[in-house]
Amino acid sequence: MRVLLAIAMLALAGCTAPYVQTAPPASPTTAPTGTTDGSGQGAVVGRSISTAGEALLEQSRRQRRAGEFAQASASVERAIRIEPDHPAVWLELGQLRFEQGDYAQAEQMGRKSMSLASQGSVAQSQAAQLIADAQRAGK
Amino acid sequence: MSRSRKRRRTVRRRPWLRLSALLLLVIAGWLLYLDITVTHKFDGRRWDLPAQVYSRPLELYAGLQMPPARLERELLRLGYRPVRQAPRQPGSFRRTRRGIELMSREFRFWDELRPPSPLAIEFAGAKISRLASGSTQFAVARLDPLLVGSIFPTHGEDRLIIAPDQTPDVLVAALKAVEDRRFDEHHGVDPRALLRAVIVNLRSGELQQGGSTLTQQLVKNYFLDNRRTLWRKLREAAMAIILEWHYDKSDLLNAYINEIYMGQDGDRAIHGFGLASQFYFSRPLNELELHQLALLVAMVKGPAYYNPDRHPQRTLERRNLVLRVLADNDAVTPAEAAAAQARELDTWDRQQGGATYYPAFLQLVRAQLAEQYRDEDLTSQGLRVFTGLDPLVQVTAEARLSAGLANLDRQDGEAADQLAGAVVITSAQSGEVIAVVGDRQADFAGFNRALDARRPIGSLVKPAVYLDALQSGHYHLASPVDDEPITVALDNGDTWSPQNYSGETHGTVTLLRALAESFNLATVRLGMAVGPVQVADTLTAMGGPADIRPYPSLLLGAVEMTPLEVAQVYGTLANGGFRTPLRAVRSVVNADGEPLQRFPIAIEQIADPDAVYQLNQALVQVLRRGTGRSARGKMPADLVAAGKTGTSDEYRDSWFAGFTGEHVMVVWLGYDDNRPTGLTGATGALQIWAAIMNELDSASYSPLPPAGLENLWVDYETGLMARPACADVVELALPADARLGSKPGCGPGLRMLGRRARDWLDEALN
Repeated sequence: MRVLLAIAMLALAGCTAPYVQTAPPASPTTAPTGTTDGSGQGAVVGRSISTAGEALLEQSRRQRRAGEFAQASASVERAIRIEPDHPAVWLELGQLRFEQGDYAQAEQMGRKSMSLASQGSVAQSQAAQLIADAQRAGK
Repeated sequence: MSRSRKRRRTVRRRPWLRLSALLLLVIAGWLLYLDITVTHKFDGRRWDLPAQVYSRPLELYAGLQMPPARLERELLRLGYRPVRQAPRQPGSFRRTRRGIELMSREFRFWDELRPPSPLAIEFAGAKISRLASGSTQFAVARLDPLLVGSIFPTHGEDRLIIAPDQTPDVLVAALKAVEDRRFDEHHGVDPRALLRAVIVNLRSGELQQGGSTLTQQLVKNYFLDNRRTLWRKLREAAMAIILEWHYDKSDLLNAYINEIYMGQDGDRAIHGFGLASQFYFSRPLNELELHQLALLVAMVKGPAYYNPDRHPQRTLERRNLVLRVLADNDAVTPAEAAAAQARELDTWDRQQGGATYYPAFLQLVRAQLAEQYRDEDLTSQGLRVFTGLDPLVQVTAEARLSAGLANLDRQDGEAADQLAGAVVITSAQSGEVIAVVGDRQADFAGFNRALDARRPIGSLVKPAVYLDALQSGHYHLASPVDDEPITVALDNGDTWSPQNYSGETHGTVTLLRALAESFNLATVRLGMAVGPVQVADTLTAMGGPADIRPYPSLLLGAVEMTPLEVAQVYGTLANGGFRTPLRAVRSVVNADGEPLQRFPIAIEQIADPDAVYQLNQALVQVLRRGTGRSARGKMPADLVAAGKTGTSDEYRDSWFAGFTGEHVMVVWLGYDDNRPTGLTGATGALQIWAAIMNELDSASYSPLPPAGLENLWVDYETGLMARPACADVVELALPADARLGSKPGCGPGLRMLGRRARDWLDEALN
């Protein structure tokens, strides 16, 4: 059993890159990267996230989709250490906690993200959405 | 031992035979006892693996402030070997014109196994500009973390277990050649070697040759008893034979390699070649070069006598002797031996590079893990513990604290070397503890004041009072408060009349100034208005202890906390009102690398962000013009930091707690027996705080102003609105509905008043 596990882990290790690769430019991002909402009011352009932060968030999303929540969490935390005052990293962790069913922490992460987001930015409305979802789900 | 228990039934009538039968029985019993003792020890030790504790892995990415020289230092600290050609061996690197190329080691992180991988790091000035391997570009790469210690049992033996397949062949050859030439043939003792030793010793009249086999040395190490009595020698020999009878040569050799005593580091005993390799060379055993392996083998004979740091000359001579013996035994070629003999001792410079063992931090790791793990699991199960420790920050904090304390000792001639101190540094937003110093003697696992010294916090409590005042909605930072005498009636019928430190009063002042300059009377007035119960609750919510007694004296800091608890409280402020439980450990994996436990980031909003933002502006002013202004000029001029001084009654405790955008730091100074220090928070702790912060290359505290606040220029003394050009003004973010008067003769023009004025006008007209 342990041998099988070891083989499986080696195989896994073999097909992943030794370091974190740059996220493809087309990847969907939750980070505010200067988009406007098209409503004419024009959402405030938030500070864009670094390549490193975005790559780790992208890795985290990939792990989340694969159901590897613990790994996904570790990847976001790496992003948080690199860019702790960017709203996108806390939003990502909040969305992950939401998916894990931890609505209390999801809401807190949403609040943290909100406190870092510029007034009227996309990040702010995403954080507000997460807080609302978490409060509803947590009831 | 059934072999020695032969029964002799035919000898009843002869008494001397009975006597010898009895004697045999006694010997058999003794051997059985030895058998049980030594096999128990052997089997026990084989599985006794102290938990290994790792620092944070350094994350490299484009844009990271990291001059090439600093990365090189970090690599050397990790024991990476500088090479001239493109690095091929794991754990080697070279400087190139464009940057640094390295071949990483295989490392099992808690979330992935990374094979040895090449990495090229390019720089633009003092920043990393690009990470790549061949044509593949990477966004983030982490180096392997530094092994910073292990959780060993209370008897002080520390070791890093080496498996047989990790043992270099040359090491085995050298041990046999130097210590026990007939290891493969003998049965635990080597009569020929013994005889030779006796003859040599008789001739020279002193003990020169031991004649002990590796197995005998192993036994000797198990029971560490240096009396050289004949009886003990006999016991040792018997046990060696027993061990050989039970176990394979390869098992015994592996046990020897992991057991042998290799030196002392404070109260920690270095056992085995695995830990010795890390300790003396900061490098894994299988990466050692020939001259380094030979040095370790040379030390076996007497790690104190042949200590490379203290006795370099004779240690070098013995190392070269080992190399000659290796060549004589054809384990290496004469050319290889000669090349190795030409090398220096080449040990890791612990003085310059800083220790690689941090007992104060390990105590915190142990405390955090004690909630989930039994002590014996930590000391024996081979767990691997990943922490947030930043070795560079830790080394800086240790050095600055000892230098600062030594400096204060000199100023205070009579009290020689008694003033104690502690430092806690955490990462501002993730709540990770990255450095802990519990004493001036950082390499000694003594009383850890950072975790265990519970002391009155003095004015460090004041931010909680002001936070409550701001959250009450009745005050903003420019609101007036009287700094005038106040008498508080206590429940027991007494009255309490606090004083300012200076003994003076200041009339009507702003909250901003009252906090920045730490006025007691104004603070007590505010505190009595919001109520000590509320202040106690807030302090607890911020991370203080749960059982704070809400007496009025709490408002001036009559509450005891450890430096770690204070770091938790101030961390909540650094985080804009989100409490983040402090963690030393990120994750734990078992000996097979399977994740056992993670300690993820958790946060809880406990205060209104607008109130915290306002409060922190006052804490920034502490360092600009308040009680902490003496730190100006001792830190980078453009670094924005916030903090608070604290001094307890009769100068018994000197505190400074504060933060930047990146680091939260608490420094405490005092005497263990509570004698007055003669130091205020500013003259003592703050000086060390600033000296450490000055070296951290920390990012400024620069949060986004909350939407509910508006920036205004305000007169520092009166809190009236003023033009920026006026003397003594400060820019503050205040609640949009704050009502402020204008400073006579210096009031802001209508244009400057902007929206605020229009709003008021609208209101007045309607």
